[in-house]
Amino acid sequence: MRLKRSVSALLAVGVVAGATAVTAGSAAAGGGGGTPVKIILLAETTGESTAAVPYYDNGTKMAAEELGSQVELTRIPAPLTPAAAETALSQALDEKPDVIIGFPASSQTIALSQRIVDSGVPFFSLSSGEQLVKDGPNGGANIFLIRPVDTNVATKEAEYVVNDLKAKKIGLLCVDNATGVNGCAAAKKVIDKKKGVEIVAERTNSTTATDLTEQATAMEGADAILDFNFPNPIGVFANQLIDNGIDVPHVDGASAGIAVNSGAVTGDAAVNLRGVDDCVPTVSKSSKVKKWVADYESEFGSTPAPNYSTAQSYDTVKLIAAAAKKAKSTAPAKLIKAIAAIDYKGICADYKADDLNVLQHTADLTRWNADAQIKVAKVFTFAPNELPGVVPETPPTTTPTTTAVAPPPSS
Amino acid sequence: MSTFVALLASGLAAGAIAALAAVGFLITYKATGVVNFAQGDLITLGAYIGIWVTQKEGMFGIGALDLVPGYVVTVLIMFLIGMVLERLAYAPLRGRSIHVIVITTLGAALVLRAFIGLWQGTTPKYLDSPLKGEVLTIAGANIAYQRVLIIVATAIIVIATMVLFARTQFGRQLRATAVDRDTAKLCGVPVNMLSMLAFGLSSALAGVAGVLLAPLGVVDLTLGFNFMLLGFAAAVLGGFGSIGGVVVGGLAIGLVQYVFGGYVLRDFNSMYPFILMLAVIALRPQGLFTRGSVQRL
Repeated sequence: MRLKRSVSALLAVGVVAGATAVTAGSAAAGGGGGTPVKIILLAETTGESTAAVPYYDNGTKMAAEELGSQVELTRIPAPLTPAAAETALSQALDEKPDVIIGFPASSQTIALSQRIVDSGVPFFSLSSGEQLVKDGPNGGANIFLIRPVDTNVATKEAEYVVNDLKAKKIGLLCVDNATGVNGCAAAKKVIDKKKGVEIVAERTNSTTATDLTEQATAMEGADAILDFNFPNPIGVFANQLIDNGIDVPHVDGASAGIAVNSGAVTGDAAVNLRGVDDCVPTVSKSSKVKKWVADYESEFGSTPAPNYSTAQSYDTVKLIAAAAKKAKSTAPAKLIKAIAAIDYKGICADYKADDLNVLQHTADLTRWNADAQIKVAKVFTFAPNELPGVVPETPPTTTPTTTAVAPPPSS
Repeated sequence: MSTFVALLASGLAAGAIAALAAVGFLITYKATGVVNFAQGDLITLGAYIGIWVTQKEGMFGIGALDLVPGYVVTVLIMFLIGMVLERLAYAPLRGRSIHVIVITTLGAALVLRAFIGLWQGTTPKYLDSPLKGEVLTIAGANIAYQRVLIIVATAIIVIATMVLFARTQFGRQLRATAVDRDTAKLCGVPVNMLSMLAFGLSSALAGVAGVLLAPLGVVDLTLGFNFMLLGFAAAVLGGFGSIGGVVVGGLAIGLVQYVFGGYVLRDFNSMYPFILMLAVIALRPQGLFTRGSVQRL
């Protein structure tokens, strides 16, 4: 009987000890030496669709390789088509990830935001829609924006035109989707506030436009042009402005760099053009960034060159590992708390979450010379917790309704 | 006045590209009865092949060709690709329902686009032009020489194609095949070879459209898609009948989009070609330039 009791006691102790060990193991996950942080990337890579780019895959892969056993990275292709994006998210959630990084296009994240919020899994958005900020119509405590908010960037562009270029007559060109609508709304808010500044022409265009003659001639008399657009129309428009003798600054977003890098914009058109990138790793003077670029190019080659998306994807994985280490856990609540509190110095930027869960608060205004060589002309800094508030409050949906249009890098 | 002239030039240039796409549609339709919906992606492929042969190390590392010889080589390659396309996407299905074949051409379009993405990547590229940055000033309007080139080149190609159809054995055989394929075959017309040549010619026209269009902006995987739609609308306007008809249809589409759309409800100008197409289908289903009665089902 005594033996039976002893065996029972030993078994009980063993069970408790085992359970404690399992709990301790879970608590130590990602904290160095424990279970790796399970990260899923929802993005396509080259060859998987007409809109796919290699930046996200390469950036995250590079970071995961450096971190070794600290992270377990899986990529699930997430096409732009709404149903396919939803399937990709379902697949990701079935894998029970600790963190999801995903969706290059705002339209994808916005459409699926309710499911993302309901899952409670920390989600790093690769897109920058104002709707996705915490407490925004499609945001949540578990959604973090690794990029500056798109409308904040548009506001800074407009302030640059009004304050730095001192333009009094401004032309606006807005691509006929959320990028153009949000960008132009934010720009108009700045222009309306400034006395003596007026909009001389406001035009729209489609993402596939190959002729913008009417839009270009309408800009006659403008001191500067604000353009919220996609790469192809930017190339067409920049050249048609010069063709029509409109030789004024032409300020655009991240798509400007793609248009120039393609070779479509050179000479005066390139000199007039300004773009905004979250960062430009290839022209950074920082030795840390230079080494990172060299490491990247030795692994993936120099074409296409690593851009801000590559650097941000890399930084995101590193930031997640650092947060997990700090939290000593991968439990969603603890991880979210750690991410919200982390101050991480990355390749693209120094990341610190504000109350809106926006992590990056800088962007680079870029310019080119006639030979299309890029330089950073100015660094924009965004005050934490500030938004222009131009995005209408639309309720989140669970079924994507947007069409599959290739997103611009600034979306 | 200068704005009108600039818009007129834009309308004519866009209409010319649509006309090239429409003539491409017409040639394959006449020879095989098939509307080849891969025409748009063949335009895109033409632009990418133009880049391939004229930039960096050129095709197969033989060195970059000068622009004009590069364009010619591009068109020749596109001709061969068209013949291969006929062998792969049309010939094996000959005799099947026309719907099956049309869907196959859509599939071929998707395959072409995926192939270009794998081969050239998805980052936009640029095809240079010897006329880049040059403008012609007419009545105060600055018109890019590239657009003038598009209009002139299309006019020459269309006239040459009309002569080919009207004055050569190939044209007569093609017209005979269009009227009655079986009878033409019984009369000794090599209808299978004719199908290949028709696809090749249509693809070559797409190549011309690609290299003419590409220097206006950047080249991405969707470059030709919109012009495929416009070309189809132009062919519908022309009633899939004569080359002259579809060319006029193409020009009408360009002019309605850019000239009319330049003044009236500008933000909706990309809809105008299709509104025109729907109006023609509703009011004159046989097209604007086709004689004969309409069979209503």
